[in-house]
Amino acid sequence: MSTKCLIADDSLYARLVLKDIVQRILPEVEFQEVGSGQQALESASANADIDWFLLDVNMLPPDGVETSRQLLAQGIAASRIALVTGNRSGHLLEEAEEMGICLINKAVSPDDVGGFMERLQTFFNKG
Amino acid sequence: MDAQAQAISLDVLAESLNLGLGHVIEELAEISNSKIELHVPEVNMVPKNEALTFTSMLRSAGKAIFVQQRFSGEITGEALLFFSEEESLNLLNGLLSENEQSLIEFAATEEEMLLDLTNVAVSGVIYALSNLLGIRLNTELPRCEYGYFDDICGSTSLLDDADDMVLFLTISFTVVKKNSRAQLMFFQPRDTLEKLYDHIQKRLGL
Repeated sequence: MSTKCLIADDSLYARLVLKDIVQRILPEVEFQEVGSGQQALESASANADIDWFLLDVNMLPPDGVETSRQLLAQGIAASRIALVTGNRSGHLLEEAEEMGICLINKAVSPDDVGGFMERLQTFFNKG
Repeated sequence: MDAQAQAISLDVLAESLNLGLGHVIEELAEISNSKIELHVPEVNMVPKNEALTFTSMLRSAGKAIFVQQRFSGEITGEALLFFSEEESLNLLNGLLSENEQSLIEFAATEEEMLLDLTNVAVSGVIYALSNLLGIRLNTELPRCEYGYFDDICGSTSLLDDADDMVLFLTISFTVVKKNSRAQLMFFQPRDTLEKLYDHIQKRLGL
């Protein structure tokens, strides 16, 4: 049975990059792509079999933090949710830690793609 | 350029803004000792006359801060940032502590801070863009002017020909502790997008 992964990011480019890297880690993965927090919540409600939620922070409402809160309220385990973001602020990290979810920084340069893959791998291993 | 090519180029530009400002936000949060909320950037290709219409609010707002920063390398362009006077003061007051606010009584301090801030913001975006596309881009030092919109925008040719199209990027963020919101507007010439798409095609193997 394949693994299902929901990617919520308003950037098509960011989704392409993320899908490419996740597929290297989980070759059998099946993706669902959405462009907003609202669509992510609707998708989660309609598909109870999603294994992983990778959420951008700065996207069309609700943002990734609020979407995570609502997913947790729906009973989805924190270990299955990660915020994938370019935002490096300490405040955001604190919010993620308070919710018990993982914060993964996006790769900002080609040199960091390996590091980005490792960060995702760690998240999947923990979950 | 077809609609799909334009859409993906605009998308990459928006993601560059997000990634570039992701670093800037961390610095601003430290300066202001407050959480900074970055709002979703808007990136559009619009006729110059529409962009000019948008800036008309700056005309009616009185004096404005105008920052111009050129970048060069495999893509050459110019970022123009406009803040109304009110917005720039909102921004600076949001970022500074109560004790430091008395410093913003004269334009020199304000100008210096805005130049620093703009430099960080534009450099962050350019850095992210150059990394995403694997191209070399350098930024020059920004130039800042303070005055009435019609006077200060005369120093750029970017907004002269009202028939042409420009890239119009808007970024806004809120300093949560003081509920202070600032908005940056970037204008870029149309050929920036076309050059950008050439690089995206190479990068994604389209």
